[in-house]
Amino acid sequence: MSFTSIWFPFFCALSIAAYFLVPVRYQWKTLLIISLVFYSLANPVYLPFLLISIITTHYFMLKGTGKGLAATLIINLGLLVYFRYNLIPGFNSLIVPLGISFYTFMTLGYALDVYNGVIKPERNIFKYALFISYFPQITQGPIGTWEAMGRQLIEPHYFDAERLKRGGYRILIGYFKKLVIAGRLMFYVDTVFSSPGSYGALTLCTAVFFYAIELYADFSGYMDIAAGLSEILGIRLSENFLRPYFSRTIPEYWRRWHITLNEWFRDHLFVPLMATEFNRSFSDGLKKVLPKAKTAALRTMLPLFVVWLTTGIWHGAAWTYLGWGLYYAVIMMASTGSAGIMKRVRKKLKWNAKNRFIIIFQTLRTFFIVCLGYIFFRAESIQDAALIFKRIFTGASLSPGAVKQSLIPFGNGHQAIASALILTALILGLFIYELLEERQDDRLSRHRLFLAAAMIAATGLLGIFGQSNFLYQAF
Amino acid sequence: MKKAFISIAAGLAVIAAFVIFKNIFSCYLPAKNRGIQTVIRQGDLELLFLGSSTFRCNIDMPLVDEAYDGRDYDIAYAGNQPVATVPEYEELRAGGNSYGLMVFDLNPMLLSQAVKISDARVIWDLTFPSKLRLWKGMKDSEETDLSTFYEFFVTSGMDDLITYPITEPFYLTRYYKGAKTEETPASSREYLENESFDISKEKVNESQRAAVAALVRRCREDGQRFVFIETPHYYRLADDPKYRQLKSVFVKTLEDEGVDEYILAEDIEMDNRNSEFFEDMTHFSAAGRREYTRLLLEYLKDQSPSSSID
Amino acid sequence: MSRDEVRERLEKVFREVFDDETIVITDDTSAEDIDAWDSLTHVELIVAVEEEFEMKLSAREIVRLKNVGEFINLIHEKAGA
Repeated sequence: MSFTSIWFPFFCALSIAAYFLVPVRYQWKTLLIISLVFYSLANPVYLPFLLISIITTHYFMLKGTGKGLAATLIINLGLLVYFRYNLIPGFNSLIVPLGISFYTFMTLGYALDVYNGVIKPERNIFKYALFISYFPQITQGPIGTWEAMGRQLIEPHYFDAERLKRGGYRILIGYFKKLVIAGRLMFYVDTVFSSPGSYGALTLCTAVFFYAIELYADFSGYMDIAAGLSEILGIRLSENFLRPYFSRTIPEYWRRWHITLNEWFRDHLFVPLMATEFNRSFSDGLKKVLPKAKTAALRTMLPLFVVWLTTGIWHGAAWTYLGWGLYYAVIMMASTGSAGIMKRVRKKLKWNAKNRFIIIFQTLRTFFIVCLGYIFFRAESIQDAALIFKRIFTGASLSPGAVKQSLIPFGNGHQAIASALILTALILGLFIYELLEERQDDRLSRHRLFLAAAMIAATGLLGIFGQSNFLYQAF
Repeated sequence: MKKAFISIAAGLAVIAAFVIFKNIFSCYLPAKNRGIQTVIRQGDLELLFLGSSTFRCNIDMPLVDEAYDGRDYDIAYAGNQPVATVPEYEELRAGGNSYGLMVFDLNPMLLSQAVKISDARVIWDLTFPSKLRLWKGMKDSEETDLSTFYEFFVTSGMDDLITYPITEPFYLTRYYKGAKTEETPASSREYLENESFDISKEKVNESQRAAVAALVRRCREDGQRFVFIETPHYYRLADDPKYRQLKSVFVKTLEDEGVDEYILAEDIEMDNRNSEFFEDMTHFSAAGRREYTRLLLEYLKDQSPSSSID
Repeated sequence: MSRDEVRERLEKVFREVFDDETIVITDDTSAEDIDAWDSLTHVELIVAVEEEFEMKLSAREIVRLKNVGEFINLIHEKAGA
């Protein structure tokens, strides 16, 4: 069952009621049952694989040994690779268990933390099962850690009206972002990216920009719904997004976008790689070639490269994702490598980091780099990505013809103008809301009631619920 | 807690207000150069087109004005399907005016379309009872579900309603008597030769086919003179076997109802290989529009002794 | 070397790495408390600590560090051995 299915609100209401009505000693067990039911409703076929992961991991990590870790890694990575990456011709999986990328990483994170002695293994398999299957986060994350979630999930929670309001407000924001903003952008983006050759530079640029907003609104909206729901239950989920498009540098962006995934890679791949002997020798070797470089910077090069390529592939088995990973590998390596020089350059230029124009410049530059990355991320093939790049940089035009063409992917013929106006207003609204949040402007909290009413109205009147039946086809 | 409920209630009230306005009153919002309600206000007419975007782009109304003394109009909705055309016709009838000749769209590709509303303006222009009839027609085709219902009665046309003060003045400059006035340039031959078109659905949708027959019967009952016309398509589309197949089904449907009043593309001597006339496979450039309209008007004059052309 | 000495020397390292003479570290200080503490500065810290205290830190050791207090413990232990 997806968060946007019509039955989801009912499911949630029932779950919340059950959670607070059962005797406290049954509370977390009820939550486990609810989570497993939720997961089965998506497709009962997925459940066995989740259970295999839970049961084997729990067993093998009870002693926290290297052998146990190896077994856990093999089983979980094996399942993940089998389902998500069709590597063996003839053995391709037709189904992909819901959330497998996410719960596998939660599982591996738990196993690695146990092995490294960061946490003690949980003896009770049901408590562990709840950690992995907890329904607000199983579909799309956040990738919770045992440290953050383990105790919370089994502690007793009592109904609190304040939390209901806070959580409800957050859920509303999530639905608004997902159904109104992401919903409206999706058709445009899908239309253009499915045949980029048919469109000129202006339309392509618009599609890339729209995708940046769509992805953010969709993903962070989903997180908002999950976090709001969890808040009502009294459980805090880790944040996954912190207004990432307001970042001033790419490293900062990656501290604010899909935070739990990047923290996972940092803790379980970057840091371990960095400390290996192999990396030490590798960076010592680099030092011979670049004697003036900072040791620390050199130590990051190999780990950054590996982490970013892996991050790319985590998203899917496609050359475009690999290209995207490579894109950020290069940027992060360059950024890290030049950090020392840039510091000196800025001192010389008397660079005032608090200057408004500089902040705006840096933010726009970062957003632009992210958008270029999205071309790889969203394109349906490397050829498409290359074509889009080429057109954008060689064919830019603001002619009336180009503007007219950019309205076509809205899909509703001459009514595209109205849709474009509404969309502009919505995106502007979202931008202002987040800007005020970024500045910690208290006007947002003072006008919460008004905003809630506005979002309800907007979602009801302008939301896209399911595939539009009403789109123009050129007849 | 109380404040939260007030907030929720306020949001829902706004939704309700817009929904009620859209469904019951939107048809009274002025749209002076197009749409069913505007046509009803024109009174009796000699010639009335009722069709899809082919009629919007391919008929030159100033030329029609010359031939019919200005007693003419064009109602064109993008993707206007046969299923929708029936309630539209009934709405016009309910307006109480008489129309010398009604021209319907012989657009074969609409026959295979799933039942839906492509142009939210259709819903906008119908009075509430007609909307319900249209909805019933859609529901009877069994292709609707909860999200279609919601879209029909709540979200469709909402963008236009909200932006009405800004977009309406713009639309007023684009149309004359329901048809496009823009000097659309022809697309390049290269574009026309390579533009892909997709007649992926060749299977006739029975609901659409039945609606064509129903429209014919209604006209007969009302004694309404009518003719179906197929505006020429670029030869690549016109010669496509799937297209021809759909076209023959359409023609057969008409003939089964005893209709011989139809004008196919080949009845009009317009060169559908001339790229100067086309913007895409189905829509003319301004030059094509004028050429076709001229030829069509001549054809109508020759065919019909009772027309008011001198 | 006493624990306090370790703390003092570590504080100097922090100040150098973050280029901020005003930083004061306590046992509870963690990444959340210092703005610029990210993957890069984390590495810089590790490298600077390895150089300052002339030791090598393994992956397992680094991964376990939750805050400065544990960092100090680790260094103190290893320096003593």
